[in-house]
Amino acid sequence: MITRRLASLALVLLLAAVIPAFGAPAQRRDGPMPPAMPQGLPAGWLEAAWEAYKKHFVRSGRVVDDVNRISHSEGQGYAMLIAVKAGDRTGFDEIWRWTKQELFIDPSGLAAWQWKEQASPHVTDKNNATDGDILIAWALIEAGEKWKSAEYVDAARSILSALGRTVIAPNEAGPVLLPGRLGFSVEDHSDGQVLNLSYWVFPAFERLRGLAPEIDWAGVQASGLRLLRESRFGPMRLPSDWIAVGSAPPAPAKSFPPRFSYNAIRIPLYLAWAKIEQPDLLRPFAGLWNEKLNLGPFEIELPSGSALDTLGGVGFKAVVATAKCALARQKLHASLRIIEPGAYYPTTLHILSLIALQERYPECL
Amino acid sequence: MSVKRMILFLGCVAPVALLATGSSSAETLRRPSLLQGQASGAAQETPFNLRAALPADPTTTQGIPRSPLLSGTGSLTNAQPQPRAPANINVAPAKVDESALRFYASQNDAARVSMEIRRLKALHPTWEPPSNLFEEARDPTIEQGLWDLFAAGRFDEIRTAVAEIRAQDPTWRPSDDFITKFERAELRVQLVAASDAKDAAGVLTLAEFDPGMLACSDIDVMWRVAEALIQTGDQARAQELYRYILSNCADPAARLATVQKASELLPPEIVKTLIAMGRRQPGGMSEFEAVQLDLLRRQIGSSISDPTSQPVPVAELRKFEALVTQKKFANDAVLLGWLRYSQKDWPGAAQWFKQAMSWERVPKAAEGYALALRQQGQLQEAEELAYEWRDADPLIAKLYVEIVAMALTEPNPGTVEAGRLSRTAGVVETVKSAMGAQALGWYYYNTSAYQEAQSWFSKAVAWEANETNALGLALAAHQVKDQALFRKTIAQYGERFPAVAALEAYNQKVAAKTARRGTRRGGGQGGGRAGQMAREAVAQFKDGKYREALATLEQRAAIAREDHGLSVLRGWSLYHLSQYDKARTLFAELDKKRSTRDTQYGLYYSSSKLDPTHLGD
Repeated sequence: MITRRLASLALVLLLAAVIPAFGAPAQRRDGPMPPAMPQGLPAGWLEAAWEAYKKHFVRSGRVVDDVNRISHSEGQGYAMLIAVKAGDRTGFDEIWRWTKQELFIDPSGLAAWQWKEQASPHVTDKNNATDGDILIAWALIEAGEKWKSAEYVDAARSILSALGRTVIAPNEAGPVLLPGRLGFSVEDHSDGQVLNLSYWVFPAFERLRGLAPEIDWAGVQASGLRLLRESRFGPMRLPSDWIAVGSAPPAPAKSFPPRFSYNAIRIPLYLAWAKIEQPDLLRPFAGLWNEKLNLGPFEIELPSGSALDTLGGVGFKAVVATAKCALARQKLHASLRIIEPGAYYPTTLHILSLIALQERYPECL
Repeated sequence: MSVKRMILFLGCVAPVALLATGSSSAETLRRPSLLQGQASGAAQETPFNLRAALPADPTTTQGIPRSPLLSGTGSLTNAQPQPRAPANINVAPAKVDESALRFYASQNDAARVSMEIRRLKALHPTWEPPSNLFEEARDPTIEQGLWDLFAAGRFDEIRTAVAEIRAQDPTWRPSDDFITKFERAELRVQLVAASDAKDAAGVLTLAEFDPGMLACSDIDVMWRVAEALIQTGDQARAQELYRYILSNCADPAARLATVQKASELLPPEIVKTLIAMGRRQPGGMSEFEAVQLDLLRRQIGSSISDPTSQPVPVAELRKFEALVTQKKFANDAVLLGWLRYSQKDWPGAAQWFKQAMSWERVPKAAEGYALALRQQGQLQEAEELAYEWRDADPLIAKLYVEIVAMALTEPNPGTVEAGRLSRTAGVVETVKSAMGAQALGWYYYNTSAYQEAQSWFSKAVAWEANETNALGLALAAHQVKDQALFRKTIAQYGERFPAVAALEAYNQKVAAKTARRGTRRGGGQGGGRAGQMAREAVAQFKDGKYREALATLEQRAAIAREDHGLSVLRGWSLYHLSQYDKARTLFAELDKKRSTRDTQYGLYYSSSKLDPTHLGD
């Protein structure tokens, strides 16, 4: 079983140091107003954030998930995407080279999802994580276009073609993305296909369509939105990280805790980044962080709707703020304009949220 | 082509394809389908079951394309909304205060909601949070926009808006409430259009699509369906539908209007069964009292215009008369007057008209009373009354002129007092009555006051140029030896009116005799002996020698065909000899052959002499 996004005690301890940082901007907000609200983000913010990011998390092309103490295809994909957005071809190349060499080692043509420094060999499970492959392919397409590189585009093409062969599966809702090529089908689970709605990287689909038109990306998007709409569990009407889709409407997958957690938190970021603005889709996420009280977002026990631990990291608040913007054009909270040093995952989501806002909703900045 | 594009394409094509294969009268109708059954608001009321009431006829229900709001998505079209767990209001112990929870949810403050749930769960481990916390927050912005369009009746734009959203996200759908109301409203628009176009079959077909539509929430639609049922000959179902409304719908105004509409479309005996369903009001009267009275009034009206129609039941009539007397309904008293009048019950009619006049100043009552008086031979009273009311209604002024005109043109009118003449002249002038002017003309002519006669005939011709008026004018001009006017009148009217032309021929003959010159042959009167006899008859008529004129015409008829003008002369001769029935028969024949103002007048006067009843019509 793949268990991702472990919320360890270590993370919570680590964040204890980060959260007080909120005190300062909150006080500033209550003080005299600055002469003019700043518009947009300061020039060079992304390049600066990317440099800091590389320093913290990238080791010779390998992106380190410092909390889980591993590297994975998703991290490689995120970093490649940020690199190309930041215009850092050298950095991009280094990460891509490492990824190709260390993760694309299976005849399936897809990246092994996990890489452990301590293990030997480093890859012990050759299964893929579909979102990682999608992110890598998307970043390659962006890079190929930006730096006029056929090599990147060919690589992207090859990944997409492998995805089409292995993880795009039929479902009553339409074509769906299996989370990995092994272990998620109806044969593997009594409650049906096990899916992860945060693997639907909606903002990538438009780009992927251009390179792999043989795949029904519009159908994939529609099935994702439909499943998302049908996956409103418990009083908080939120999706669980993992859902099972059998003959009945989707339900929290039995092999995972019925929780809204570190996976599903990315869903509103992808919706907003793709400019999918249906209020009924965005609304359940937009209230997850109360910015006045700086409360949340929480992991949530879905059957009861009860709050569990706070999702550890400023970046998760940035994701919720992005949803608030997409839903109601609410301005980004001033504290989120600055990327504080944090753990790999929330820092990544923070940067991606700001990119999404800059690309799609500059009026919220 | 992507699947989505294919679906959208099919979504557009499907209705057209169905239209192309559609059948019969329903082809041009678009039929929205109902996704979710009837409106929730009408849950306590079972709608009228039109389908069960009608004989099954597959040809009328097939072929109308269904056009659901959410088209082109196959099974998604009929996808049920995600089932919601029932609210746990019975499970939650009363002591758990959920007000904060609900407040946070109303703010969409999910962070505080989940924290509050955690707090309440810790305090009350068996408590289950309500599952409907966020229900009210569903899609308010988009859906509100749709409701705004809905309120403005911009249905096409709703379809466009929904299609646009669904093009991006095929799983999105408006609320079921919206879909139901929208599709019903759109169906309603089509039904009303079909109803306005008198397409009864279309109305019924559309009504069958949405069984929930025939409910008290839309009585207008039920009225239209009932009307369509009647138009298609299904009176029984229409009656059932009206009965349904009266049994189920509470709104007093709508109930009253229902019976009123039914009374206009259904025979009285059926309407009476509907009226019987009226609720008793505090005073003991039926809520449909007014309709019942209207129905009775209509029945009385039918009786008046067609005395052979089914008579109003005597008991109902007596009740009505009692009510009219008690409430002093002047207009109803007038109605009862006309009923008696139509039955030739002149005294009865006079009594009701007089009664009505005593209650209210109703011109129709005065008119009826004057007519009834005249029928009873009380001509002087009739004339006085009509004169008194002459300004109330042009018809009364006309009646007054008729009464006086008849008196003035009696064969021997005797001397008419000056005051009566002058007030007659006044009314005739006021209403510019050609008939009245002509009557005055003849009166003066017959009393040898030719100057006055000429003056009135001039007015008569000015107001209405007909043969008699022109003839009168020419004769009067001749008598006052105004040759210029005489010739002018002949020249102006001779071609149109043969009697006038005949006068000219007669005049020329006289002139010829005097001058010993040859005569010009009159065109219409025939030459030789026949022509001479025609001119003689005209001369005799002009001199008031009607019997002689008739004799001459008889002799002439033996040797020549009598033309229209001479026949009119014969008619008037008969008339002046008081042989009204013969005059009327002749005028009727002439009028049938060739209707002129003269034949019409002849017919009118001779008829009125024989049966003055209808003079006021």
